[in-house]
Amino acid sequence: MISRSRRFALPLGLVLVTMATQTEAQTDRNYRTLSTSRQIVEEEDITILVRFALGHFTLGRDQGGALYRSRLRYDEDLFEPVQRYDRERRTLEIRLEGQEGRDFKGRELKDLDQRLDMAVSPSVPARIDLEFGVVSADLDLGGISLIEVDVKTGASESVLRFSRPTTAPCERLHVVVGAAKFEAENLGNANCQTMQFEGAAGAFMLDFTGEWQHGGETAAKIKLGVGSLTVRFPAHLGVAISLDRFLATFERSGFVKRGDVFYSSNYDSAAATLRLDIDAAFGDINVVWVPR
Amino acid sequence: MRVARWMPVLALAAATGLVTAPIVAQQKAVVAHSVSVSDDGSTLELELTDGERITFEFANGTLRINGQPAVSFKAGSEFESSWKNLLSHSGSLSSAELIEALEGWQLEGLEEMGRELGTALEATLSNLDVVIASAVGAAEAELAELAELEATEVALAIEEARLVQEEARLAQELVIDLNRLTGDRSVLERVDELRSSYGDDLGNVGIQVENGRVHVGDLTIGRGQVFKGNLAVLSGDVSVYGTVDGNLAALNGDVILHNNARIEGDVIALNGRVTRGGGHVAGRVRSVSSLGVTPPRARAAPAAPSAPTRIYVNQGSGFEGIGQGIATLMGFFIALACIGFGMNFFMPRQLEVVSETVSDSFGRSFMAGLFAQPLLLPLWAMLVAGLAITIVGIPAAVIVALGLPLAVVGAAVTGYLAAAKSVGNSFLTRRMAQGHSVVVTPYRSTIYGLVGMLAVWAPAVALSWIPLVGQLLLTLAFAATWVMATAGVGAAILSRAGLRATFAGSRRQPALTDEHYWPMDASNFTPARRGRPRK
Repeated sequence: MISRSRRFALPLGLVLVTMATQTEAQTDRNYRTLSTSRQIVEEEDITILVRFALGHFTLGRDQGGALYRSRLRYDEDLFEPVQRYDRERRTLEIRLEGQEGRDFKGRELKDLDQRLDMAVSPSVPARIDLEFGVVSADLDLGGISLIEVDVKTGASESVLRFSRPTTAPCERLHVVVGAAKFEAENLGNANCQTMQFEGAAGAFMLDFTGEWQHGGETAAKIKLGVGSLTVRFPAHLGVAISLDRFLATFERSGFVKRGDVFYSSNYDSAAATLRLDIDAAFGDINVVWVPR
Repeated sequence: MRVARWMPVLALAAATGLVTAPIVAQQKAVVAHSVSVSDDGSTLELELTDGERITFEFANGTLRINGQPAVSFKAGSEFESSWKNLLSHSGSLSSAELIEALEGWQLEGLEEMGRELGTALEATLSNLDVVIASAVGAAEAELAELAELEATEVALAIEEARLVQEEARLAQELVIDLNRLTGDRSVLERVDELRSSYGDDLGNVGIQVENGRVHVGDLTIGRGQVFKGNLAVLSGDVSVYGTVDGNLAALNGDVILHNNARIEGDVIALNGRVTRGGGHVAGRVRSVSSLGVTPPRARAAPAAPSAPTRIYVNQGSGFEGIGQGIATLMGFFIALACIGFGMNFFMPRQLEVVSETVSDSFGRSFMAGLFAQPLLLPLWAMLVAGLAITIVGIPAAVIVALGLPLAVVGAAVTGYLAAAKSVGNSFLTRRMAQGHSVVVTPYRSTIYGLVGMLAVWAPAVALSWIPLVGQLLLTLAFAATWVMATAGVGAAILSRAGLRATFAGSRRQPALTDEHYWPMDASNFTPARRGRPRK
C-alpha cells in the first residue's frame, strides 16, 4: 500500500520530470470545481492539512462566518481530490493527488490551470499544516487565530504574509522551503513565540515589520543553504543576531557587535525584541531597516 | 427560525422517498455542503448535524439521490442547465447562503418531470422544515438569527448534547502529578483503571500533567532538543535522543533512551518497557506491566494527527560533542603516556633507537611503514595457512593468528611513541639550544611529544560542529597521526624493533653523539633559528 507521503511525492516527481522534458501543450481539459463550506457548530479549534502538488494556492481569512471554505479546480482526468473533515478530531484534510496508476505525460501537465482557494475562520484557533509542490502560493494568515503553522514548499514561488495581526498568540511558525523564491511579509503581525525558516536554495525575503503587539522577546531561527537572504526590520524593533556562517557575507549596518552577537542600537530599550539565529552556508545576507 | 419552505431539491428527495424520514421527521441543521461541477455533471452534498449526508447528483439526464436514480429528465434541458448554473455560482457561498440561493431558485423545466412529481412535491413541501445552522462570527444580522436559532429545539438539543459531552469529559478528566511519580502509586492505579476502561484510546481521556504536558501517540525528542518540565506520552512510544528536564512517563507505550538521552527525573513505562541504549537518567527507571485488570496491549495510532510528532523547543549546541571529544583525547593521552612511561622504564635503549631512527631517517622510515602496511594481511594469512597445513604447526598457527595482530598494534603504538619521543626530544633540544634551562629526559621528551602530536586533534575536536571545516580538520588530524604512526612502524622495522642500533646512526658520523646538539659553551653559541641565549 502506498503511503500518503509517497502518493503525494509520486505525482510531484512525475510532474517535475515530465514538465522538463515535454513541450507539447494540451488544450482539451476536463476541469472540475469542488467547492466546500462548513459552518461553525461547536468547534473550539481546527486542524487544517493541505497537500497540493500542482497549481496555484491561496489561503486567507473567511469573512462570512464559516469555519472554512474551499474551492478546488482540478483536471479530473489526471488528478483525484481528497477532501474530508473529521468532526471528532476537528481536522480538515485536503489533498490533490494524481490518479492512482496514472502515467503522466508532459503534454498533459503543460499549461495546467489548477488552483485551490481557501478561507478559514478568524475566530477558531487553527493548526495549519501546508505542503505544496510545483505551485505558486499566496498565503495571508493575517487576522486568523493561529496555534501552529507548518509550511513546507517544494520548488515554488511562495508569499506568506500577515496583512494584519493575528488574533491570538501562536506557539510556532515553521517554514521549510526547497529551491524557491520565498517571501514572508509582516512577520511582526504573526504573534508567534518561535519562528523557524529553513531554506535549501533560492532567494528569500523575510520581512519582520508589523505591529509586534505583544512586545517581549521573540526567537527566530533561519537556516539557509545556498542563496540570498534579505531580512527587513522595523526601526522600533530591537534585534540581536547570532550568526553562524560558512562562506556567507553579512551586511551589518545598524548593528554593534558585542561578543559573538550583533545588536541593534535600540536593543536594550525596545519594547519588542527579536533574537535571530542565522545559520547560513553560502550567499548574501542583507539587512534593511524600515522606518516607521 | 429560518425555514427553507421552498427547497426544491430536498423536496425532490422527499418526494421520491429516498431521504424522507430523516428530514421530514425531525429538524436538522445543514452544517456543511459541498458542490462539485464539471461539464459532465454536478453534485451537491449536504451534511447534517448528525453526520448524515445527502447527495444530489445530476448527470446524463438522471438525478440520483444518495446514488439511487430518482428522476430522469432530458439531458441538457433548461432544468439541468438552470441547476448547474445555480451551483456554479454557489461555490463561494456559505451553507446558509446556499440554502437562500436554493430558496430563490426558479423551477424552470419542472413541468417536464410530470404531474406526478409535482403532486408529490406539493404534498411534501409543507412538511419540510430544514434549519440552517447559523454562522458564528458572521454579521450582526446573522448573530441575531443565531440567538433566535438557539431558542429552537434543534439548538437546545445540540446544546444539551454538548453539555452531556462536557460533563462526561470532566468526569473522565484526570490530573497526574508527575512531580510525585516515584512514590505515588495511586496515580498509576488510576491511570491503569482508566486504561482498562478505555483501552488504548487514552487520548480521549482528559489527562493533564502538572508542570508539563501530555502527548498522544509516538513521539521523538531529537538530539539537542530540550523538553522543559514533565512529559507523559499516551498510547505511543517515546524515543529520546535529547533531554527531558523532568519526569518522563509512557502510558501504554515504550520508552527508548538513546545514547545521548538525558532525563533529569524519573522514567516509568506503564504497560510498556524502558529500553536503554545509553543516556543518563538522574532518577529511577521503572517498567510496570500491569497494576490491575488490563486489556491486551495493542499499538495504537496517534489519536490526533494534529499533535506534533517532534517537539521543537531549543536547538542544542555542539558543546556536548566537544566535551566528549576532549575527554576522548585526554583518555588517549593518559593511556599513551602510561605506555610510554613503561617503555622508557623497561626498554629505554630500544625506544631510543627507534626514536632516533624516526628522527634521522624519517623519509625512509615512513616509506618502510607505508610498504609494510599492505603486506601485513597477506603475511598474516600466509603464516597462518602455512603453519596450519602441518599438524605440528597448528598450535603455532593459533599463536601467530592471534599474536601477529597484537604485535602489529604493539609496533604501531611503539612507533607512535617513538615518533612522539623524537618530536619531544627535538623540541626540548631546540629550547635548550636557545639558551633555556631545560633538562632533557626520555620521559619528558615522550610527554612533550605526545602533547604536540595529539594537539593536532584539538582544532578538529573544537570545531567539529562546523559541517565542512570540522570534517576537514578531522581528516587532517587523522592524516597527520597516520603519517607519524607509519613512520614509527617503519622505524621499528628498519631498526629491528630497536635492536639494530647502527641503523639509527647510519647517516651520522660514528664519532659524534647527541652532544653535538648541545651548546657546550653558551657564550659562543649562535642560535640556528630564533631566540637568544639566556644570559
